[in-house]
Amino acid sequence: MNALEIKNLTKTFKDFKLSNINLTLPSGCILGLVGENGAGKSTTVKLILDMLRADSGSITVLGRDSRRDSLYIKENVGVVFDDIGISTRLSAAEVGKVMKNIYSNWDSSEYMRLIDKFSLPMNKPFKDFSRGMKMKLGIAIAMSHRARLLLLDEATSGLDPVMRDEIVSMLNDYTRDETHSVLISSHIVSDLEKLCDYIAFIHKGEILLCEEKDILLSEYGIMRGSESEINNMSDINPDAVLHKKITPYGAEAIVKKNCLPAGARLGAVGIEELFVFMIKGENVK
Amino acid sequence: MKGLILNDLYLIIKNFKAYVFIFAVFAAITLTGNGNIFMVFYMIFFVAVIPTTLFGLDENSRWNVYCCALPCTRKHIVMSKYIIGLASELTAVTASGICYAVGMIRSGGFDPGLFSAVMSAGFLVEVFYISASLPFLFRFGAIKGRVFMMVMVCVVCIVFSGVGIMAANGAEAGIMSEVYTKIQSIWVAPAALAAGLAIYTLSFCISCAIYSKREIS
Repeated sequence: MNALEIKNLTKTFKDFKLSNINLTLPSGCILGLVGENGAGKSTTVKLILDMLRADSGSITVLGRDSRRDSLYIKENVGVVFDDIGISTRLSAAEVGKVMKNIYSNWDSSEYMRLIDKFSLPMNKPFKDFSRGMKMKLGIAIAMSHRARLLLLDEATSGLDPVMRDEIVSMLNDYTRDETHSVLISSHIVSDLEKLCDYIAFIHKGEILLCEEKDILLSEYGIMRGSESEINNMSDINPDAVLHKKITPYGAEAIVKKNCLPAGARLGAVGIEELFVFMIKGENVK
Repeated sequence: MKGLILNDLYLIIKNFKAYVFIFAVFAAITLTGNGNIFMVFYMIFFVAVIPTTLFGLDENSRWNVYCCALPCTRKHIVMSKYIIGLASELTAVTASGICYAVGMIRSGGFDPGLFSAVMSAGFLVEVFYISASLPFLFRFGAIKGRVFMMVMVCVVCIVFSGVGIMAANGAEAGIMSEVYTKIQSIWVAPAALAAGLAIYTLSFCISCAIYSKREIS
């Protein structure tokens, strides 16, 4: 079963449009939604949670329609927003009591275990927490009610590398259970590269690409040379060069490995390079 | 919904400590005075701003967004604010009522009719204030809601001034004794309670309709 299926999702605002979004997250996997600020990542998460109403399209979460079964979905989904949203004067202990009365399947002992694991103070007000502590508390809440899907919206932004690494390994542990899945949106591509099974690029409200990470890394390469070399390659096989960037010092292009002649010299492409190329490079197609 | 109410209660306990002190000062003035109606109304009005303040705190911490991602319906979210509003209102009316009654007894002139009329008026004013402000808060949020609160305070002041002028004119015309007799009837309190609950219920339905359509971003 897929943990999440988004089909032809469209949402129009005055100054922004999320167009025809299609995403699938299989159970037991982690999908990274990569996009610059304002690309539509948070809007997508809020549409999944029925906080915004879509103009068209459908969203299925854990096999249920996101609008019709919103309450069931929210019981089984853990959410962490960039700005968390916990009342600033409450302590972790009080937040636990609040959540116990909100989630029907709240697990107090798991919450306490996570609070202890993250070394979070029980009685300190949330407003006095560091950014990392706030994020950890948000994650502790999201993981203490037997959620089968985690939606993390920019959950690693503003954290130091050590903290981000901790969160990445925690999420890896979480998805060892094949019924657990994660959708994580971020503009910090390096975290997603470490963590995700699937990567989706979103730009100006459109999905540019959604693919298994390993396939992305094995299918694409980066070619460096002169502008004429890149253009020649494009002439030989129009499908080979996807995006190119010409600078006064030379040219670079994202190419499809299987469309190139044997022996072509290529460098390995990282997710971040691929993303930047897709956003900033000249689209050859 | 219990969790939402608990969250609000924690916020009230942590953010309204100063209110307890101010309330105690006004309670002392009412207790030692000779039935000053202004003090009674002041205490009731003071508590009426609690739902508006809670909205501001929720928006400041983004709890208003987060709670929509939790397993709570929009109706639950609206209802929790109305329950908190009603509970704080009843607490304020009861506490100020006790102080007012004790103040009247101490000054040797407890008048059940006047007491019932004053408390009913206090209850209705607060119900009206909360009922009128909550739909605006659910529609526009705390900042615009506060603007509305100021407008409401002006409206109440104008209405009370108008009533005062009418009472003065009525006293001159000799019709006030008849009016006093009517508002001190034993039916005033139950009628005020019924009217208050009807206004509150209508306001709740309007807020539910507004908030169920509102997009949270």
